[in-house]
Amino acid sequence: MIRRSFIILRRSLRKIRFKIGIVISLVAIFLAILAPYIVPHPQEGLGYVPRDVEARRLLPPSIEHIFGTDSLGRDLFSRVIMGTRTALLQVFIVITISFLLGLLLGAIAAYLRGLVEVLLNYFTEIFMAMPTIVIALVLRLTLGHGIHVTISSLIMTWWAWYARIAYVYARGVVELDYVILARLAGLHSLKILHRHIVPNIIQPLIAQAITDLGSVLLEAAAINFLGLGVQPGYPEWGVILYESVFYGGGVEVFTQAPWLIVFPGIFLLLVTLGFSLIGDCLREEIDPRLRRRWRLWF
Amino acid sequence: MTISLNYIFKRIILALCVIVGIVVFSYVLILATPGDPAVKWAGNPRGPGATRAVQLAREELGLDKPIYVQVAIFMYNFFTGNLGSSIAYKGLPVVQAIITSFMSTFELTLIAYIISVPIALYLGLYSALKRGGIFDSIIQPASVVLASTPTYWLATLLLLAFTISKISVYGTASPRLIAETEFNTITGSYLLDSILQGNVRVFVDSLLRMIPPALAISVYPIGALTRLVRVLVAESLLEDYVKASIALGVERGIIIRHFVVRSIIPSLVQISGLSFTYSLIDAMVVESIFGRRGLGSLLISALNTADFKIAITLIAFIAIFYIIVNTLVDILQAIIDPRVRL
Amino acid sequence: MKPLRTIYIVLLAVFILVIILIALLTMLHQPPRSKIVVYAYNDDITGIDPSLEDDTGLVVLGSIYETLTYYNYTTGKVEPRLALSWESSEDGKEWIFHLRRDVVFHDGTPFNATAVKMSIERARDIYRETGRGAGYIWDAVDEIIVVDEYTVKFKLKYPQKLDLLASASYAAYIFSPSALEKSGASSIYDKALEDWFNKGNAIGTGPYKLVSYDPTREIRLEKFNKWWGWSVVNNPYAPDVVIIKIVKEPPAQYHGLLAGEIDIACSVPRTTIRDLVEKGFKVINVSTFHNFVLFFNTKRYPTNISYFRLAIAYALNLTEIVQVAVYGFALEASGVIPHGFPGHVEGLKYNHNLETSKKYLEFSGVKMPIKIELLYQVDYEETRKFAELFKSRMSELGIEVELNPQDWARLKDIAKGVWTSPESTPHLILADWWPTMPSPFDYLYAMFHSESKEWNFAGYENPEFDSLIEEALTLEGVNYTRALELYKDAQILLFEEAVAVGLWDEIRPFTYSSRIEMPQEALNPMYTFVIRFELVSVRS
Repeated sequence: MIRRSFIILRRSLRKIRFKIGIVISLVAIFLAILAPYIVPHPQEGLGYVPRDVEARRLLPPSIEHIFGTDSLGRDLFSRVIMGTRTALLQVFIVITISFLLGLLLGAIAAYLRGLVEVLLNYFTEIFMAMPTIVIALVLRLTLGHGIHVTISSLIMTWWAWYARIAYVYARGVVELDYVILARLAGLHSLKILHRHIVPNIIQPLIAQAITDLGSVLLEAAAINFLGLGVQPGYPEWGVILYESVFYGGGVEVFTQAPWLIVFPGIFLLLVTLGFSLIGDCLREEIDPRLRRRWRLWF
Repeated sequence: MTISLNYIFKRIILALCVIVGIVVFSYVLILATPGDPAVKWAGNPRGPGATRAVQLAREELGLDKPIYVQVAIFMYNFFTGNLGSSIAYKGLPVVQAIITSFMSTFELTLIAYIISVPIALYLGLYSALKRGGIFDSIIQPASVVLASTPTYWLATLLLLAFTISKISVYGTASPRLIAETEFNTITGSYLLDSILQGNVRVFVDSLLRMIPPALAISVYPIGALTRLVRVLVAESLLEDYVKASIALGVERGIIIRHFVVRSIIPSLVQISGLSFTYSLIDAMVVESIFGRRGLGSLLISALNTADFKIAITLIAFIAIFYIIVNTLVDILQAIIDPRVRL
Repeated sequence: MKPLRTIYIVLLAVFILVIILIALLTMLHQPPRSKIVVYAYNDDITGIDPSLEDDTGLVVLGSIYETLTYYNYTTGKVEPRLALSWESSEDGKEWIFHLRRDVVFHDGTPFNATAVKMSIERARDIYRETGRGAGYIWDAVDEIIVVDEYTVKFKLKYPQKLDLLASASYAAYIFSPSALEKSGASSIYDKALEDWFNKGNAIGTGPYKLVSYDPTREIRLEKFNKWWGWSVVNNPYAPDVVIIKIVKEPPAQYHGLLAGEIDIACSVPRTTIRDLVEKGFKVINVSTFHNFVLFFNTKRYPTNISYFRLAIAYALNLTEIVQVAVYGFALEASGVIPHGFPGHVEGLKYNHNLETSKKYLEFSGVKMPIKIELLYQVDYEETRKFAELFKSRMSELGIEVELNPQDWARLKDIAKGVWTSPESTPHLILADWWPTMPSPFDYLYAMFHSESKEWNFAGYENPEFDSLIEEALTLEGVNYTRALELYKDAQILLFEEAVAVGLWDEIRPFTYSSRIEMPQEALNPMYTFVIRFELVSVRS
């Protein structure tokens, strides 16, 4: 399996798209880690309102404020760069947890068959049908504001995708001869799962996970954009957009401060693009068969 | 091509079970949230008798019964279409509120897809035919970029552009125009309603206003569907019968039209259908940016006023729509590709 | 593919051309036959039952129904409306109202004492039965007697200033008895009547009648030519048709004004006002009775310590708050009763002083750093900005503020919890209020009386305060001046204990296009958002 991964990586690296994607992602990770140290106003990045609010509100980009300031006088550059950290955090937490949950549940369901299988199918259908934003709306009301709302609502809808994929592939593996033999030989279930099933299904799942990085980021920003997750003032791209559109009656932004929309959006686009490019290339290499399973990509 | 009725039947039963599950799930989810529908039902009373009014309202809404009884009652009402009047707007039936809002969002997304599907088809087709050429090397990355763009961001930018150029694009139609021409909302879809009432001015006005949000919504399908078409066409070009017809010297145009396009239409339709439901959600967000009345604003009002009737029905409605599309797609796919049978 | 492609492109081009043609053609339309005014209101209408409506329905009710008297906010006194004159007995327990003659309802039925009795009894009784609506303003009314067709006598259980109460913005509207027939209700208490009203029916005496009702989109009113007041108002340019259009987003109202689609907007973004004025629009700034108050949870540590509360109160810089959160469109509050409202007291402001604040902190014995929670509404941009500002400023004192934004329904739910589970209810609650009846009792009872468990977010229980305002209420009917003094004492109590801090009284700018003329009198803070269209002139 490891050898195969190397082959895939090498082949992907030949494509320019992949290289661009890697570069963007690495820059993003770099920014996320170093954000508080390289940013001119880290306090404002975290949401602190400066003393001289009036003087500093809605300043256009300048040397002092590279991206300008927002409606409460905070330096936009600081907020956006620190937002990289939030973006990556949200994405990685959501994907990791959904991935693990889905992998586990899907593999177990495929292995155990019977009622567990039916239940899993049933629940994944229900959860996949629920639109994430609606869940976020509801969760926000119960949990209050905060990043936990965004993360929870995303996990609640995404785990089902992974469970479904894991299940589909595990089904295929479970009927392989040597797995049936292993069972008949009385091998411990967990061992079978660990040794035979999981390694075979992990690759398409990882491919899916990497492709999903982009979509999750977009959805997370969307939830925050609607004011359903993070609080205004937090360093997060979606919520900065929320402040520009729904704060100050929105007109402030359009007529006086378009930079508030442009910069966070560009960052969102670039990072999503980076992830999508990587995911695309990897997916193409890993399993050409996957192209038939278009349903899974939506 | 034979497909057992058994399979269709099974799929439908499964779909129904899932719908029931969704309604139960939504009910529990909504009712678990804080906020008291009884207060709103009682009319937000402020005087000394407020507590009593709220208590009475709670009984009227059946909220004092144990939860499984509530769910059962709601389920019954839901499937018989007897949901009564909404809590947020007294006198407005729940069903009417949801249908009118849905029509508005639906027509917006529909217009977006009417724009994007042909464009995606054209771009994807030519990109695949001229594989490796200049056209392809622009389109391929471009479609990835398009599919990565946050729709709401684009919508905001579009709004910005139109605002600066002083063209009014807010809302669904001009209030003054509605007043002057005595336009009434019937179905909720302004295009349809204006046709029904023979109101040309409102028709044109609402159509024009729909263009910026529709453009924003169409960006994602253009990107995603172009990629899809490109791959499908590339694959179908490798099919034996296509190779054979090329070898036999059939005219290029006919090959493209009859073999290639025909063979990818089913998959394209399927995926467009699925992507449509995704875009409906997108549309709800874009609507709130452009100040249009639709599912998005209805859901927000419903949750603001703890109107659980509308909220649950709406969530269930969206999910059901998704399930229906999925089921149809599944059945279609099963008809076409007998290998796929879950 | 080529022929297919060409066909598609040609079709598209033709389609676009046709659209453009139609658009051009429709631009050459004739001017409208009737004078139309479009008023953009920023919230959905919750219902239009004249006796029971307690919320945003006021916008519509205020134009199609009328009350017996009308509150004049400049003089603080009431003027005749449906009642021409009135007198009360010495003890304030008997009131006689003489009604205006030759007044008809929208369907032609005559206005008389029977209609008054029916309308008021309905409001009062349904309130007594179910606690709904604002009928509590009539709570003192024991008996209503129809003396003759145009004279009504009220017998009260305790003295009240009934003429003032009759001008209330809720539960005081007179509707026609013919509504009973039309709705098919068996009595005025039958739910069928309420449903009939809320479906979009109305029979009032006002200058405009209801023609169509869609609570989420628009409400259409038409001029009622038989209104008694046209000769008094003498305005031949009053609009024939009024559309109350629901436009929830302030930017949409702004754009609507600019595009000429809206004539009057109640809620444009405050930052755009200067721009609008430059473009030729006019503004009327109304000092509303809508105020924002910061409540302290008096049952939870550390806000149960009065010194701690005082410390926070003195740390608030109202000038900065009004500037940043409301863009200057508010008056710094003095106490919890807004400027211009009966019972308002000047001098109940905590002058911003960080030194005083720190001293009080010391006295309180609360150890820094401490964490407290602020509950506020997301619906208003002002409250959101206030919250962020508040958090930043409090951190300078060593107080960490956790922000808890909620929508109104949730906020109320959580805030009510101060009575059942104060330990899990936030320490500070920012809420807003606007009055139902023209009496300080409206504010003071709801916000601070120990029995008012729905709205007393501070969890304040002070029997001295309770009896002060209860006494004042009954005194209103007998000795109004003395009553006001008692209300003042009650507010001083609140001030000294810092139970709540009045933050600001909202000034709402109403922007309108130069196409119409609107005098200041068309707007009245007692009837928030109601526009007296009979005074508006359409010029173009």
